[in-house]
Amino acid sequence: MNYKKELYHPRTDALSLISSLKTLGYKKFLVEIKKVKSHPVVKSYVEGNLFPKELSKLNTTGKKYISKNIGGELGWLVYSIKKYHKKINNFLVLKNQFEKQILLSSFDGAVLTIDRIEKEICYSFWSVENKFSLLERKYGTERNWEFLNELNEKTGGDNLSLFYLELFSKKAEKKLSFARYKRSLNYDLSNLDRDLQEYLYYKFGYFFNDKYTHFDYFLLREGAFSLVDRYELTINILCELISDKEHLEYNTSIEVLKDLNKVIKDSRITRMLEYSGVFDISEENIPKEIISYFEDYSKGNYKSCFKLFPNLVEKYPNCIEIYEPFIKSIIELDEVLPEIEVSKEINGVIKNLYSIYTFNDDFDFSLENLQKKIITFSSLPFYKQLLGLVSFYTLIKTSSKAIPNQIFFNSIFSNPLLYILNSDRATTNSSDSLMFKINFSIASSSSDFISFSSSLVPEKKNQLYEIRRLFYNKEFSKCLTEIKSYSQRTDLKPFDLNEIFNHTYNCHIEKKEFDFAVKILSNQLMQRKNFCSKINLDFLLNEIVESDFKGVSGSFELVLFCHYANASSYLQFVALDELFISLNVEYPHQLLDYIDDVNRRKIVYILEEVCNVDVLGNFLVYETRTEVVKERENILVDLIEMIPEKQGDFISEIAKLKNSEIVKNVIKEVNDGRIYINIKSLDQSQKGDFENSYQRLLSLLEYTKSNALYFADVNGKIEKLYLDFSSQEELRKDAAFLACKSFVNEITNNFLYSKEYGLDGCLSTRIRHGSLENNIRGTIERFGIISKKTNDKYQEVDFWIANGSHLTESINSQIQNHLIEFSKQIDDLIRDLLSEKVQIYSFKSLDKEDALFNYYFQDDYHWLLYNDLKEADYDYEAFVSYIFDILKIYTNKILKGSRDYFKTTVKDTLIYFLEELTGKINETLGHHSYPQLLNNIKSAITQIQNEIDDNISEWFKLSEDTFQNLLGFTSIVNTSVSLTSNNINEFKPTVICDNDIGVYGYLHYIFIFRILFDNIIKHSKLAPSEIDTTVNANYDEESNMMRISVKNKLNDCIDINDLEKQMELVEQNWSTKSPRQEVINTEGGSGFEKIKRILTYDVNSSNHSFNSKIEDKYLEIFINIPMTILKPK
Amino acid sequence: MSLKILLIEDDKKKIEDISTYIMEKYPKGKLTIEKSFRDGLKQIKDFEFDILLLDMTIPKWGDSVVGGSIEYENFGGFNIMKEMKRKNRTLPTILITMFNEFGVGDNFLSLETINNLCEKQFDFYKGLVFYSSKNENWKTSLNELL
Repeated sequence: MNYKKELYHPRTDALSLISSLKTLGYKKFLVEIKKVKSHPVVKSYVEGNLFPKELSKLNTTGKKYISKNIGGELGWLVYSIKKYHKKINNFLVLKNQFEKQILLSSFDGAVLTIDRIEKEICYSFWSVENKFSLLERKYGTERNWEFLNELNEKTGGDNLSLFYLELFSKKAEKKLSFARYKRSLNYDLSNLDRDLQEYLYYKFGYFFNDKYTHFDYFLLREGAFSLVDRYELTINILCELISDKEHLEYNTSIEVLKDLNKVIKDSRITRMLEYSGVFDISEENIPKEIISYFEDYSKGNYKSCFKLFPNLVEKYPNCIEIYEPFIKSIIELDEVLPEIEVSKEINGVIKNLYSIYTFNDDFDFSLENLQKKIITFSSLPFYKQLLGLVSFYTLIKTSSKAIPNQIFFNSIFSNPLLYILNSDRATTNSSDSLMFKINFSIASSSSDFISFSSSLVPEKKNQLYEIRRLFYNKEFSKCLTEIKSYSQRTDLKPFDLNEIFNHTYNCHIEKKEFDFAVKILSNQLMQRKNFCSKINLDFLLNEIVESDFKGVSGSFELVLFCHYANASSYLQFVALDELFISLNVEYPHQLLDYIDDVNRRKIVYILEEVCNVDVLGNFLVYETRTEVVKERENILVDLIEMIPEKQGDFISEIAKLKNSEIVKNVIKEVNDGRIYINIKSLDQSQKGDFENSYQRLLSLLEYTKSNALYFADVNGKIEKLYLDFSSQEELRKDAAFLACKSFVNEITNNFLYSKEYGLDGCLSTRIRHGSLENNIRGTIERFGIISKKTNDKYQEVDFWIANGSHLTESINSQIQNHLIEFSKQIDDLIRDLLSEKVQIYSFKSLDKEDALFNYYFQDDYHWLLYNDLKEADYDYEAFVSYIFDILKIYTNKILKGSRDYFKTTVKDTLIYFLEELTGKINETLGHHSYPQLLNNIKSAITQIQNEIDDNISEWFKLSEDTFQNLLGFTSIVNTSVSLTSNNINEFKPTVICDNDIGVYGYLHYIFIFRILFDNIIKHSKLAPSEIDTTVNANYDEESNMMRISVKNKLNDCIDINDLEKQMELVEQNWSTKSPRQEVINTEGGSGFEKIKRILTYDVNSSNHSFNSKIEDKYLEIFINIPMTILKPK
Repeated sequence: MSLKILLIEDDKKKIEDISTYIMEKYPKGKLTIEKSFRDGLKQIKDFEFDILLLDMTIPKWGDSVVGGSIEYENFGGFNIMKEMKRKNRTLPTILITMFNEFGVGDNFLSLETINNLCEKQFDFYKGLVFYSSKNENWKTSLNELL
């Protein structure tokens, strides 16, 4: 085709034609585009917007033609890159300078460099992104926000730019934790089309996404961005393509790299060509002093490394390879980590890496810090290398090799790590330096050098190299033997131990020895969890499950592993059952017999964490749930003795177990509500993240009091941002308001969609799936008037034909048609209810506009909450609880609306259909009669009304979870009895709680009853079997008083007069004096002072009273507690 | 010979429909119905059956199948088959479900995936029947598998 001729034809859509060249692939695109390079469309589109001189021009949302051809899209960008290569080379020099300035914390210089890049080359998203991070580092968050505000003013209402800018600003914010940023991005991008979603992850959270496949789309998106942005994207995508030898465009990427290498001086291009084998690697481009430094480290001259590093890092701050030898040298020398007086940034990196290499208590915290740094300066090579480094120590789920390869691609020299990263390249090595030889030997599996090097490097290292070599050479058995011998060494450091742990684990995995893998992993998880940060627990769990637990034997470690791997309760049960079989036990408490010095921690952990009601519920040895609950209670009582410091948690769980049994009965009796939302669990599930988000909201609230700051309100609108610019609405809104809105939406989202506790799960499993259809259809079907489908065709209801012999064939046939038509109406109604009505409409699911559960809150709702927040001094807990309260009230309103909807609209529609059916049948019958059929329809009308009113509509009720926070006195007393009777089996008091009430702070009341019961056992002087106790706990509504009485029998030997005097004294003290600490502290005292103290200070009740009565050898204690204050202080 | 069939299912309507169909097909057959994961497993453990008709999502406990506190096992049917295999108490099993999909969020599995998983993992698995009270196609599918 003659494109040139076609292009100049007046009727040709020139842009479309030029864009179609992309489908020809990389090479042909460049050939054809050169032929038409002088056409204005090439100037204005292919080369369009290369050098924006103002911010509002950064993004162009003009027409784009998708080619689905990565090569062609690359060609589109490379055309301009090659043409303006001098500009790129200038940019690369300045970029390198900027990176060094950031690392050396020379922020003033960095500002000037960025300005130069913008002046000498162009504005770009690259420069804006780095400016945000730079200003945050230099001046703090307020300056970051000021800058955002300045830029917002300049974007000219371009919402897409506003959205990008806000994300740049957000990821630079120091106080916004890495986890929080990640979660917030995941939330924003959750419902997007896959290509756009991938693109935005690639830009703003590269390593949060496990696989990228839409590179053509990324290139298309940025086809009209600045030259700098186009170049950086091209290089990044080439890194991805060159890392995947199987990729269809792998060869294209080599061609592109070769082309670029002719005109551009970028070490990344050289590295990629080395990686792919076009260039050989050599030590020639490594500065001599760095080689010498590495040689020192390899030879174990740690003191020398320690000494050389400060000068080296000042000179080569962006050479990440020099950091590890320095930190490891410090550890080898058992030195304290010194402050390197180079820069704050470098000190920060070193400090965090030190925690990583020592696997100390700050390990997780440091990992989080490093990831925060990586995301903050995600476009700078040093931080990309840092990502590669971090990927060796934490599990980043990705199928791409591009992440670990970042260390090599972004290296300023030919790092011999290449041999390990790409073993295809370990064919020849001409370098004499130790680090080349060592890496080459390991990757090429040549043992010659390692044997030879034993005279050059310390024995410990030499042994480790051999372990690595054996592992890379897949000689796993030999590797394990070598590790065994190596482990005997006494000079191993945490990083050595971690490396051999990983090798040991991986050897067993490779050998499919899952039993061993489980054992070493679980033991490590118990001893040093940080060592396991790189282990993919899901993988091992899947292997075990796939093999039906065949390859593993029952062991404590298997149970622990399943728990750590977050396996389902069923799988945890299987592991526990396998353990029981191996030990020949039936009940968990029998595990206590196996406690010894080796297993104690494991058994206690299993009893505490695994042997819960959910897991134990799978054992058929228990006949009922009550038996399972009892077993758990017994375990908890044992745990109280074993871990007294956790007493409060265990007692609380016992109380809740008691309570949940009662709640279940209460629900059974009074409430058929199928909607159950566990607010308490919702609140806890994401607490850390939400708290961080709340702190940011407060900061924004404070800042916007005196400063203007706007964000883009993109919630649910990201896709629209990519549509035509002119049709876009104003999305700029007050930043604090949007942070509040986003916070509220996230809490709401959790409330609606949380996997375990959310509303949608309830609606799905309890109403939508089957129940609704079966109840409506089933009710009508009982009367034989609804027809069933076979192969999508409604069948005739034979019964009415058989019984309609008194009617003509035509009438019978018409009646059947009416029944079929009616059946269709009913099924359509049910389908509509299931797919449209009993659904949720919210920001997250916008396709169900007719849903009864409409949680799409308009801005006025958010403004209301926002204004409340501004006026009231809420802490995090209070604000979240306030939102949940509103959601509960709102849900109750929706549920009432749903009940009404069913009781009116649905019921009326059903009645209408039934009456219409009656009418049609009557009309068809004419003077004939068919009373049985008409009576059945009539009965169906009555029955369906009953069904809707008394059953279906009642499902739409919220089973309150206030029981989770409140506990009734029945449960309180029963829990206290359980705890006491653990020691004295015969202690079984009669408990009467006719008029119960729930109270907060139930633990305090449990402690009170325990004191009272202990008193009885100690002071009644009766044998346990003779103890006779009655507990009364009743709420007196009139006086709003909880009236408690505990009556117990006394031994004949007790001096009643003396006891009367004692009780009199207690009564006097109760009403006149504050609790006396000296009495409280007296061991073996009556405990009444303790009760008084608990009531006064813990329960925060001032008007409680105490009385006693002795009658017929029975002592009765009366305690009255006002219930006006329900919440503990 | 009278066929002994175990049905593990908690939905009233579905039980009614399946029972009617089974009793029509096997008038001399003996049908045992259990409504929960645990009660179903107990039957399999203690008694002999010729065939098992199994729902996928069932309550865990037999003693609380009324009210808002039902604890459903999203993959209860699947776990029952796993237990049968593990304890070597297998019998021909047909899944009868009215769900199109199982689980929520990341644990979501389609009907097809479930079927493939069962086929791959359980040699005693006979197949899957999609039940709906509005049509009778399920009867044909069940008949074919029986």
